[in-house]
Amino acid sequence: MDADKGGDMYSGGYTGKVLRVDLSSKTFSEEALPVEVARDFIGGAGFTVKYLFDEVPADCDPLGPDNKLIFAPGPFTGTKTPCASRMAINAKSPLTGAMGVGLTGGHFPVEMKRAGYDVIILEGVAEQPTWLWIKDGKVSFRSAEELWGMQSGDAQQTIKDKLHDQNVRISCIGPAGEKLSRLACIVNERRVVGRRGLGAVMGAKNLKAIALRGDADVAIADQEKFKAARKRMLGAMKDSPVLYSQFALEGTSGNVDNCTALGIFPSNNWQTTGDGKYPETIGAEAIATRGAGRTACAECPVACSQMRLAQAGPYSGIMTEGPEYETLYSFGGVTGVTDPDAIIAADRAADEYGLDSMSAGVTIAFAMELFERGIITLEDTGGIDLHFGNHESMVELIRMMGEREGFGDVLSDGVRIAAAHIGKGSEKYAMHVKGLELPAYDVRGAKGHGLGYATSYTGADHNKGYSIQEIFGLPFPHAVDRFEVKGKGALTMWNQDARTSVGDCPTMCIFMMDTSVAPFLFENTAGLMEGVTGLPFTADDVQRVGERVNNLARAFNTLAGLTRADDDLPERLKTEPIPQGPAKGHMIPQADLDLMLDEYYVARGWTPEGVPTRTKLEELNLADAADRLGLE
Amino acid sequence: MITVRVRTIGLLRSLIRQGEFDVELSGDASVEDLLARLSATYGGAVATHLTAPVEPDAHPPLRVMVNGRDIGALDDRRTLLADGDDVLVLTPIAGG
Repeated sequence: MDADKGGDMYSGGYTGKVLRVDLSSKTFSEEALPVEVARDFIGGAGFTVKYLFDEVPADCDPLGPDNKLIFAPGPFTGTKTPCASRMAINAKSPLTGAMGVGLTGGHFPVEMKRAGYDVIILEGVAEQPTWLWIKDGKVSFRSAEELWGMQSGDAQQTIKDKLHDQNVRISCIGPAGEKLSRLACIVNERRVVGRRGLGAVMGAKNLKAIALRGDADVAIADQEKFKAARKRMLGAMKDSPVLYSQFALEGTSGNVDNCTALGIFPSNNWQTTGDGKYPETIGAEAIATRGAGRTACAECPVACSQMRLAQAGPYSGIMTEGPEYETLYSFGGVTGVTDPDAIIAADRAADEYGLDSMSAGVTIAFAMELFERGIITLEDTGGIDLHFGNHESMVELIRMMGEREGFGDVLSDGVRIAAAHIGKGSEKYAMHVKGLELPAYDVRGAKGHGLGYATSYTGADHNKGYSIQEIFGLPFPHAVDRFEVKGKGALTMWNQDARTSVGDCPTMCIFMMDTSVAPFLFENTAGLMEGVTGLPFTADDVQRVGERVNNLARAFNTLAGLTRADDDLPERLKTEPIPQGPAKGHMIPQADLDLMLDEYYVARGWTPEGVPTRTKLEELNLADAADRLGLE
Repeated sequence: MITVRVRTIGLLRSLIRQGEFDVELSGDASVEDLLARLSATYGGAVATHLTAPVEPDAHPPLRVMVNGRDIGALDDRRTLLADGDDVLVLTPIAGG
C-alpha cells in the first residue's frame, strides 16, 4: 500500500489488493485497489456492486460462466473497530436476476483481510469439483471430489483436518449449492450469506469451498482519530438502553414478541398475523429455555448470537447457532410451527444442506397453503402431509429440497418457480418480490418497510432498507406513523442509503445502528473512516456512498431487464386486509403502492418508470453507468 | 374517567409481571399521566425505566404506542388518551 499522501491515498483499513481467481484456467493474479473505488464505494457491498457492474454482463445466465462471485469485507474489518467482522458477497442472483448482494459475519471476513485482500473475484468454471486454499499470497486449487456431497459442517471439518489447522476460516456450500438450488446459501462456520441463491452460483462454478489463513495486521492511518471515533462508538454501545441489557442476552428472538405486539408477525403463509400463541411458544422467553451459551463474531464485544439445544422428542440433542428472528418466522410462524425444538432442528438442517432458512421456510409455507386449499394433494407431495404446523413434514422437506429429491425438487428453487411449475392459480399464494421470498414483517402494518421490500435492489429484503422508525420506533431522522403512506418515499431512500453506507459498505454489523449509533450514524462512520483509512470523509460523504451504491445497483438491474413493474408486492398484501390484531384492517392497495413508488422515484431523482437519470448518475460520479444505460 | 388497556412486552413485562392490564385515568389524561401512574404503582426499576430522560441525540430507552401508532408521530408524551385506547409500552428492541 502506498504511503499517506495527505488524503489523496488511503494509508490504512485497506490491504490495497484485489485477488482475481480464474477457476477455468486455474490461475490467479493480484491487482491494486484504486483509491477512487475506495473513496466512492468504501468497501463491502459497495465494492462488490462496483466490480459486478463493471465486469459482469447484466443479461448473463447467473449460473453460467460469465457470472462472477465477489467477496469483500470493508475497511473497518480487522481493525479492532467493534462489530466489523462482516463481508459482502455478490453475483447476479439466480433467484431474482438482479444484484444478489448478501452479508455475513463470523470470522472469515477478518481472516480474509489478514490474508491480504480487500476483494476476491472468482471467475470462470472449474473443470472438476474444486476447493481453494489461500495463504501467503498464493492460491492452491485442490480437488473437491471427496468433499462433493458433504454437508457444510462435515466439509469444513474435513478441510481443517486436511490442513492440520483447526482455525482456518472457510466459506463453503452444502448439497443444495452443488445441486444448483436457487435457495442455496454460502456457509462460513455456522453463519451464512443466505439469500438469493449465491450458493448455486458457487456450485455452478464447481467450487465447494474457499479456505484461507492470514496473519497480517490491518493498518490504522490515524491512531488518534481512530481512538476518538472508536471511543465514541463504544460509549454509545455502553449507554444503549437495549444492547447489553437485552439484545446481547436474547439476540433477535425478542422480535417475535415485538412484532406480535405490533400485529405484524406473519403466520400460516401470511393468512394471519400477530397471533398471540407465538410469543408463548417460540418468543424470547420460550426459546431461551433452549439456551446453550452465546457466541460472537470476531472483534465483537456483544456476542448476540445464541447457541440453542433441542431438548425434547425426535430432535433432542440437535444444536444450532440461532435460530434468529427471521428463522423463528420462516420455520415457525409462517409455517404454523410452534415447537421450538423442531425450529432448532430445521435451522440446523438448512445450514447443513446449505439452504437459505428464510426462503426455504416461506416456500414450504406456500406448499402448505396449496395443500390445505386442495391445489396440491398427497399424490403431488409423495405422501407428505403438509398441513400448517406439521413440523415433521417441514424438517423432512428441508432435506428433500437440499437433495432435490421428490417433491423437494419442486420447491428447491423458491416460490416463484414452484408456482410456475404447479400452476392452478398457485402464484396467488407465492409470497415474494422479484422472486425473493418475503422476510418476517407483515408490511401491511408498516408501509414504509413495504416500500423497502418493493424497491430494494435485491428483492424482498428487510435488511437493505430496514424501516427502523416503523419496526423499532426509533425517531431518526424523525418519528413516523407506520400506517401512513405519504412521506414514505423519501424515508425509504434514507433508510436504504443509511443501511448501505453505515452497515453494508464499511462493513459493520447493522445491529449497532439499531441499538446504539442511530442518533449519529453517518458521523460515526465518517469519523471511523478518517481514522482508519486517512481519507477525508464527512457525514454527507458517507450518506452519498449509500446513494451511489443504490443507484449503481439499480442501473445494473435496469440493464438486466427489471422495470417499475418489478417494484411490486404480492397480491395478498394489496387486496387482503390484516384480519385481526393491532394492525387489523390494514393493507397496501395498488394505489397506495403507486403513490409511494412515485414519491420514491422523485426522491431518488429517477424517471417515473424508475430508471436512474443521467443527471443523477453524473452527480454521483457514475457517468459510465449512464453511458451503459444509453441515457441522453 | 377513562379506562385504557396497557400492554407490555420484554423487559417491562418481566418487571411488571403482567402482560396486559387496564388502568383507570382521569378524562383528560395524557401518556405522561399514564407513565406517571405506572411509575407510582410499580416503583423501583419500573419507575426508573419509565422516567429515564429522553435525550434527543441518544438511543431512546422507551417506546410507547397508542392504538398502534408511535407517540412520536402523535403528540409525544402530551398525547391525550381516550376511553378504550390500546397503549403498548416496550423497549425499542432491535434485530431481525
